[in-house]
Amino acid sequence: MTGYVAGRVLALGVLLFGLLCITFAISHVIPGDPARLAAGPDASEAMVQTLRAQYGLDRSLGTQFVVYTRGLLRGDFGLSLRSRNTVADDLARFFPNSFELVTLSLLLAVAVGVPLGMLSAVYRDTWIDHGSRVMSVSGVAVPAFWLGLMLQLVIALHLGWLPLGGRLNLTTELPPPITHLLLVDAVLRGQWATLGDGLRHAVLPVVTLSFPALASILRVNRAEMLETLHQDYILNARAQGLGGLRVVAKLALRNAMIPTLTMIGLRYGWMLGGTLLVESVFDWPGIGLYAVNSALSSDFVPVMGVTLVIGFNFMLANLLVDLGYAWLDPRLRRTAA
Amino acid sequence: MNARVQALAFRGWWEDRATAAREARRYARIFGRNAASVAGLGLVVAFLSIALVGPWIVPYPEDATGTVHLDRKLEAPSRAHWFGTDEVGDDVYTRVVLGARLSLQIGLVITLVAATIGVPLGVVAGYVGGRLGEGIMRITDVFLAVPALVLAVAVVSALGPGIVNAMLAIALVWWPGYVRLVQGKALAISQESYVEAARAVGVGRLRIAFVHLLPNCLSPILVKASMDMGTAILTAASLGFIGLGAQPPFPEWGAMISQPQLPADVVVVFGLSWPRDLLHRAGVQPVRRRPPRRSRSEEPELTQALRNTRRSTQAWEFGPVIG
Repeated sequence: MTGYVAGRVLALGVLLFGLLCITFAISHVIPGDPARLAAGPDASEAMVQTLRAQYGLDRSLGTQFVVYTRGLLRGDFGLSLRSRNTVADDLARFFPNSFELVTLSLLLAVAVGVPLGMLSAVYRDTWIDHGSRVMSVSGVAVPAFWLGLMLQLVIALHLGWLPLGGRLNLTTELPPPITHLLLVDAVLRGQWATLGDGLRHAVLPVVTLSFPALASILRVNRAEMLETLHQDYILNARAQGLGGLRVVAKLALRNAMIPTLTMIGLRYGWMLGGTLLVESVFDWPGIGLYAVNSALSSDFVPVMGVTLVIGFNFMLANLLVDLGYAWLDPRLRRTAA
Repeated sequence: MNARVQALAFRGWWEDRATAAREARRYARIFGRNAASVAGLGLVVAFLSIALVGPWIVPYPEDATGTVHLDRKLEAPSRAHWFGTDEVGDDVYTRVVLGARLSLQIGLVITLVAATIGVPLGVVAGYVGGRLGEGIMRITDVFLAVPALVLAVAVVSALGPGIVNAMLAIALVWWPGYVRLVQGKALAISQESYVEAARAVGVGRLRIAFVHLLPNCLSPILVKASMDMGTAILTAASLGFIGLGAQPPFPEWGAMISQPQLPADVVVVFGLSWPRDLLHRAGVQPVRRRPPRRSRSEEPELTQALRNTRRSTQAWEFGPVIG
């Protein structure tokens, strides 16, 4: 088991290094002249030269790569070309918001998708099954930003039940930070009004972001449950007199969860990518919106930072899924170790 | 004697044709029995015909070229403007119809470029193998370990926004899926005896790779490409929507939907939602070789892929990330 974990962690390190090479290539090789891009179209040659020296762009690519890597290892993501903020500070400010959004969405997707998939398999070809399949097909087909706009239009604008976007109302009191996760801090500080307002702002983005994930988790879990329920050991358990729901929930679900877990892990990473769209629609101050706004002003340094953060999280999620596999399925543990 | 051999050969050829025709008819029958497949095909045909004849059926073809009619901006849908007008007075119906053509082109170009990069690399990685193959696969792994939309945005941020850059960026992050697919297939085929036979008579490695292996990898490639079209279009629309893809006068759906005006927007929005679905169906339904419901689980490919995905970075089966 230890060998298995070590191997996986090592693979993560290799992947991370590869990702670093990609972001370096994008930021240092693709744009003809980043310094000119940063200086703007009207800058004089001297200004461009100064910038070039300031960002170390006048050195050789090899040296730049070493400097870049060393900086990242120290947690230095560089300076934004536009705002001159350190990207690391910005990321630290925006990431908790995205983390909350993605976590809530994933919780919603799992909490609804897994039971619905299970019910859909157990009550196959009934209205539950048909309903959840309509949901899963539309979840794959509907683009996230379209769903977000529609929810804004109907629920926020026409019905006025929930706010259009943003994180909190302007007048709402901010809790003094403890964990930097707004909702958690609000609970810890006992600011229930802030919590309520934060939750009201979170509903629409969370629903939008979770919908595609919910659909695919539902699909995978349904298909797996159908297959598992036909296995001999389930028949055996039933023949020995075990009750219906117990068999389904304790024996079948555990085996069906293995592929579902892969899907959940994949979806976590995709949701991080989806924040770029959903945060743009709902004006949610997270890393997705930060990346989009920076990209719109041709400021690629923050975008690289966001790419690294999202890539790292995605790889970490995959690692956890692999380890979760070994925990769920002892057979894998033995063969892999 | 010679004539006799020729006649025999012709008969063999003819019988092959007849068998193929029978197969096709059988397949059509199975296909026709499945309502979802037929509906999907219908939608695809409708979408393709709109894209094909678009420029000749729209009432205001010049409205897609950046004309401005401030006298009739933001009108509600009427008989003259079926979907209303946008904030510079262009006819939304015209732009939605022309957008179909554009989207189709975007999807085609992205898929083509991605396959052109990915397929040869996959053949090399699968057949030639060695250090080169290993290296190709590691690079592929890295690309697959980051959500495609994020990488595409990263590339666009360096290249600058615009439809061409967006397409380039998406293609640049799309090819690893093809490498992964083709490598596995090429590896399997290289064990076949006809490849060994070719090697035995002294055919060169490159020739084996591209003349013997590649044609036999084509069908999964085509399946993946057809499924990718929809997701590629949607990714381009996503970039357009956040402002990094097509720029305003261009009738691209994602960019159109992001223009902040209501109520004409609602219509554009509906226009965008269906082609995605039908392209999805186009990809998924017709490639089903067996009639649905016969198998125990309804998504054998997906489930199988998931079971095979011990290394969860093999994300190509599911396309890229759209939220």
